[in-house]
Amino acid sequence: MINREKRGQEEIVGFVLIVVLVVIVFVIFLGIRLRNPEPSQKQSEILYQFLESAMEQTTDCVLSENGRNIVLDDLIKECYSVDNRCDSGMTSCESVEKTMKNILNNTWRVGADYSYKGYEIKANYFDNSSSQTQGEEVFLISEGNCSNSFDGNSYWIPEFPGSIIIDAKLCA
Amino acid sequence: MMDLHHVKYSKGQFKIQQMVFVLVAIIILFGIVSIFFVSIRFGSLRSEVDDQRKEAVFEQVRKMAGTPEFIWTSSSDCSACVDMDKLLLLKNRTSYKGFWKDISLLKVSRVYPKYQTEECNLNSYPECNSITLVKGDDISAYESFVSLCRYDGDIGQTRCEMGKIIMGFEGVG
Repeated sequence: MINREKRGQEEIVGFVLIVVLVVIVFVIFLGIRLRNPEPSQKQSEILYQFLESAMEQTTDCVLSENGRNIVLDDLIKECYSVDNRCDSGMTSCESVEKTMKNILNNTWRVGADYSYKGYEIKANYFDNSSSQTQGEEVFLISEGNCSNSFDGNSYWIPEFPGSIIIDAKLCA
Repeated sequence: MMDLHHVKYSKGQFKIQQMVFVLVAIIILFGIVSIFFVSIRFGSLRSEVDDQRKEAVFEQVRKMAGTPEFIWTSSSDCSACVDMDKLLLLKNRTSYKGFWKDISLLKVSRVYPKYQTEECNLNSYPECNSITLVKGDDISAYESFVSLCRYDGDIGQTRCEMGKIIMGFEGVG
């Protein structure tokens, strides 16, 4: 009789141990999952609209060739191909960077206190004739911290024989 | 009559009972875990649907830039360019009162560069930031980026600047 009771107690202890083990594994898994939320990379329509509108911006750069204030997407092409100086003395690449930074600073507030922690705008030239995967960098502007979670989109500027692709990321 | 206190259960019956308890406990445990996962999954699904709805609204707001009252018509192809001169004149037109039905707020605002004067009028234009066509209270507003274009006499050419269209609707959350 005592032997039978002892066996029953052992089985109950075994069952409780299994339940405790399962609960511990579950709690550890939950803890890891909540601490490291899955990186999310979303395509953002508003970022595409931002890039498209920004490319229409008339800049302060006047190139002596035609004496007209050049539009931002033409200035980016100029920066990639020739990098002439504007009448103000700045190079076209410096002017691109200055204009882009001014637009970005007036559009998105980024930092530890804001919902977006940082941004990254990158322009690369890709030659259509070659099968290159890594483009030739035209400019890179970044601010704040960028992790794996971000909203992003791309804008494409044709530049024969290839194209300049501008990738924008807003990091959460 | 049978005395229930003295019914003898076999060892096999105990074993079956024990197994049933264990199975029920396991099923309850897995049930709780799966309910938890389903609730997390549906939570993220709901936020994805909300995001997609918002994106659709942003697109609709931007389409306003393509209407005849707003669009900048020039040789270059620009579907999201707004004619600021046209809007300034439209602002004071009494015939356009009540034209945009169900819209509580309709405004275009310059993002860059910013000037000191906020609202544009015939005296402050073009060195001002926004033109409000419809102004109402208690609204949910949505914004879309556009280019604000005008003829700039100082440089003798078209000048386009970064801006946004802001539209508000009553009772839309």
